[in-house]
Amino acid sequence: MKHEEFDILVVGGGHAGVEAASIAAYLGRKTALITMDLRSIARMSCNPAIGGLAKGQIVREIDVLGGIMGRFADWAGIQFKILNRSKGRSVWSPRAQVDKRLYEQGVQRHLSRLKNLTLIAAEVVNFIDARGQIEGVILSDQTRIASRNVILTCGTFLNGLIHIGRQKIRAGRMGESAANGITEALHARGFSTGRLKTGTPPRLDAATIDWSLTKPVRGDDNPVPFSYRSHNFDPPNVLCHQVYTSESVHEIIREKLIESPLYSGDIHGTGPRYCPSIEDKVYRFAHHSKHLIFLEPEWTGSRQIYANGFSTSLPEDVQLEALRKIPALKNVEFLRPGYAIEYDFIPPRQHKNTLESKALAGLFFAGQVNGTSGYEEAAAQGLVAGINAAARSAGTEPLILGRNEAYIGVLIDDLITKDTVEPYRMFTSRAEFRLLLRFSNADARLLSHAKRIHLLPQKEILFLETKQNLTRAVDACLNTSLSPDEMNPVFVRSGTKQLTQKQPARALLKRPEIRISDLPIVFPDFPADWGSWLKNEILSEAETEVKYEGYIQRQWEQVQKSRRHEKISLPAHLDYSGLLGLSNEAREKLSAIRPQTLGQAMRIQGISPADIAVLSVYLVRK
Amino acid sequence: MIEHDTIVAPATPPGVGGLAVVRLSGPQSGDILKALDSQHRPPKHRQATFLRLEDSTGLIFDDAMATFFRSPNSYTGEDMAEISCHGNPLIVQQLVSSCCTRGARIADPGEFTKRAFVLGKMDLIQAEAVASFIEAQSLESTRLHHRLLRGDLSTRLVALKTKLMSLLQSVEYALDISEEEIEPGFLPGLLKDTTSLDRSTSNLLATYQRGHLLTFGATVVLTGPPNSGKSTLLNRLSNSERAITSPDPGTTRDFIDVQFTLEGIPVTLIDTAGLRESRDSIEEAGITRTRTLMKDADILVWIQSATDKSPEELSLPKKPDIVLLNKSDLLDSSMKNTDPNVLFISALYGDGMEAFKSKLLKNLGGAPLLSSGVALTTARQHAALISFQRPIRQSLTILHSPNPSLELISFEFRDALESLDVLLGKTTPDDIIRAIFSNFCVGK
Ligand SMILES: Nc1nc2c(ncn2[C@@H]2O[C@H](COP(=O)(O)OP(=O)(O)OP(=O)(O)O)[C@@H](O)[C@H]2O)c(=O)[nH]1
Ligand SMILES: [Mg+2]
Repeated sequence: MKHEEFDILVVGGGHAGVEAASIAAYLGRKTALITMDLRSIARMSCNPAIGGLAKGQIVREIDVLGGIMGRFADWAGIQFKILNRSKGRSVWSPRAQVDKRLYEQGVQRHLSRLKNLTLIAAEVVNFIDARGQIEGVILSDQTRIASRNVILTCGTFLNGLIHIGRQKIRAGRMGESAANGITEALHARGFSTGRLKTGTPPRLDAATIDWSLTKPVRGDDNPVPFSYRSHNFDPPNVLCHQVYTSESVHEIIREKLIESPLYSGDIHGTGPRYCPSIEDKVYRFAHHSKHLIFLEPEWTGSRQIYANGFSTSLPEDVQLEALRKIPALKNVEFLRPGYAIEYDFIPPRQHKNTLESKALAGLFFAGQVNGTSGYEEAAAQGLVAGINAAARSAGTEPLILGRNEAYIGVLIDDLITKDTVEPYRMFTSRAEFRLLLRFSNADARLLSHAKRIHLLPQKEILFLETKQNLTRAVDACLNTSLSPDEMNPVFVRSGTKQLTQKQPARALLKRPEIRISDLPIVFPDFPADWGSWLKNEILSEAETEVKYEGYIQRQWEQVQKSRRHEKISLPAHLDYSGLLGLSNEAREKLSAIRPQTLGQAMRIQGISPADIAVLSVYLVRK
Repeated sequence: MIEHDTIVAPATPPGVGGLAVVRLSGPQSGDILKALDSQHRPPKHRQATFLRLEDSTGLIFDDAMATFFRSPNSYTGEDMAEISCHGNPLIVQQLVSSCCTRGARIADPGEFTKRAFVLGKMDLIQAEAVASFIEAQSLESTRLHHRLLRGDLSTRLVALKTKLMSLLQSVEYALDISEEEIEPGFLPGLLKDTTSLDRSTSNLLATYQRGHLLTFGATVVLTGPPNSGKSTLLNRLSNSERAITSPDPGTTRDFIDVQFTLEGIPVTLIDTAGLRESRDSIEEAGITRTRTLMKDADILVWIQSATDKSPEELSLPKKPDIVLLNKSDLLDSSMKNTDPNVLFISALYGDGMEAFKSKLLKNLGGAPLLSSGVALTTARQHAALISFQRPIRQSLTILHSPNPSLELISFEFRDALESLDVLLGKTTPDDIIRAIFSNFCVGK
């Protein structure tokens, strides 16, 4: 089969690949998505949930930047919840239980309708390149497809190896074959690769669970969507269920630890510290007598239940024996055991902040192939790679997000700057300007980019502008002065100091016990067809801006300070080995990572202030 | 900031002496050593060798001993050499310029220590201690600075940092990893630990006053009407006959200073011209100087004669800290000590000296240090630790409020950590570092 030339080729149909393909096609570039099996496009291969701590913020950012994850999570979600409600505004994180089947159907339908997108079922085995520029890819049947922009998003498929106990299966995911050849093709072009591992828990048969012994958990009664484009949002609120492990579960795991490839040394990749396997938890947190397991339905009415919190690579019979010690799971049967997968990744310090590789112009990398974990992290990279490949193909400015602008900015800067020794997962604490990065102000932070690059349809831009105007109008209302007569009933109720004279609402809102809803103020009218969540979000944002005013200001001062270093760029071909005064570690890391700015150099682990001083002196002298 | 050329400077003070030491630091130190004596073998680490010093024309100008230190095991962390030659300034001069013709450059003040700091051989607190250690005026002060140089204060600060880091980690865990509600015991525990961190910080801050005094000393200015016994008191305290005394008013015209130590605090005591409507221009000039001295004094002591019932009303630039009524020997005992803020002394006979000294100490402030104790010594350290404590205090305020926000506590903790890094010199801006090292002498 002969293919025409494309502006952009996306290799892989996971969460990174679909975002990349969708945005590139939306931006009018002639795009193709190549994946081995079209039916598994946008598959949620792990947990049936989207969002969560720090990840929920990312999904909102993806939405404002024209991505699709939030829209389809809203569409396929069956339970919505804001996590961390008790812990402070910037760490509130939306999360949804999602019907996996609906999700992939929705995304697949969306892609199939995109004008500029061609979906190709094939396996890529090699690249075509000339003089450091990518020219296209070669498929397993030796067909060539030409394109000067290729985005590689092959997830865990590169030389994937599944472990269940001592059993090993070469595969990209359970039931799907691994991709072989690409790693070698990259090696041949000077890329280095590493190996990582990640785990997944067993899928249980719902009919074999005693649900009466589990603890039911409901979602929020006033659900909040991820996407500002979900205008008629009215999702179901399906129950989820919790159980706990116990000492008798742990005992079995401890006894059979030796059978886990984790401990017998079979797996060479490094695993995540943060969503560790159950054998990891039992071994490392020996003092915890129980661990939480969520029993999550994979789709509405699904027989398949995802045992979230019990990812493992123990032999199947051991997994079963251990789980059956939990009363609710006494007679449980598996539909599929848990397993661990080992795969190649491309250490992302070989990329620029556009996610284009430094070694081969036009070749972009996004998603798990860059050593991240999580759908949201993958989608965010796919989106940025898609936007930047489109920009490169159209000859326009790329999208580079600052660490103070978005979690996506933090994500990409961390990826290209820090050593990846385990799958990278986003945390709010990775963002030094966390207080500025609320999920509820993603629109305010990113709309200007969306406008400049035309990432959203005009009517969505108008909608977000209306929202921001209303937020400003609400804020203006807070200048109203309130009298003792109006306010004191509120203060009597909260048992705090009463007013003796009029005071602006703004000042009163600073009191910790006062909420914006306590203020007897008439706020502007919201459009009648807006969901109540939108109104609440606007009020809550206005409230946060007042309550955190001092902190937000301090945070901006820090941003200002850091900007000075971000403005100083380092020459791309600087010879660090010839710079006297650098420590050996600095010399090695700077040569490998080649930071683009002095600010980025400062964030590299092992680079001391003294090394930065040497660089500054060099730049001044130069 | 760092230059990787080789620097040279005399490490001993200028002038004639038995020996003088010249120091070299930088990658060329070994080569320069070899070039100074054409017969010389390649230098070995920590080995003293005999050198026949040659100038650039090959003429021998002195015999010397040189010790070589291989990087990183040297004071600066670079290759270094210490050359002991004869203590004639001309020879020292010759040696330094011979090193320069062979590729070295004369060091800036403090450059050796600065290199040691930059190369991580010491932190900023230790570097600050170097200068104070050399210049210390009392045994107590040298002991304190030796402890600081050894890193005892740094250890205390690192302990504060470690403690804060573990608190920050627990806060971040609650924010970032645990999807469950905050455990009931968490906030009270955090409050307790933060309070104890605040207390440790206060304890360390309290050492500043004494640490500063031990390092920089104190100036005590004696003032009062003519003939009240100022010079007599100065002689008594310094155990000398440094000042001329006489029954004639206006004996002292220019100021006189002497040194003595009080619990290890180096005190500069200044006797001044008695204050009165001046009779001549010399005396007037003396009085003008006296007023300037008074302004800068740490402690201003007013002395008048106890027998002088109504001394002339004089306007002082500032209120005296201590008032002494001298010549108590001339009073009958019934009249003594009515006002606790006034001390009766007899400078001539030595009565009331102990009371005066302890009053001086009390006014200088600060508790004496334990023999193993550390102290903050510089205003920079004090200011940085205050900026460490401020956010800690702020987080305590948050913890006491109805719904403490963990993200704000984390923000304050991070702010505090940054101040500690500044204090230890981990993230100190370049200009501050430059200011610190510019106070050094050349050769250190
Ligand atoms: N009886 C008695 N005489 C004292 C005492 N202290 C000082 N005198 C005498 O008072 C006279 C003046 O003493 P000075 O120490 O010269 O006084 P001064 O304050 O330095 O005077 P000017 O330098 O002139 O300002 C001398 O004759 C001292 O011997 C004291 O405690 N008792
Ligand atoms: Mg006198």
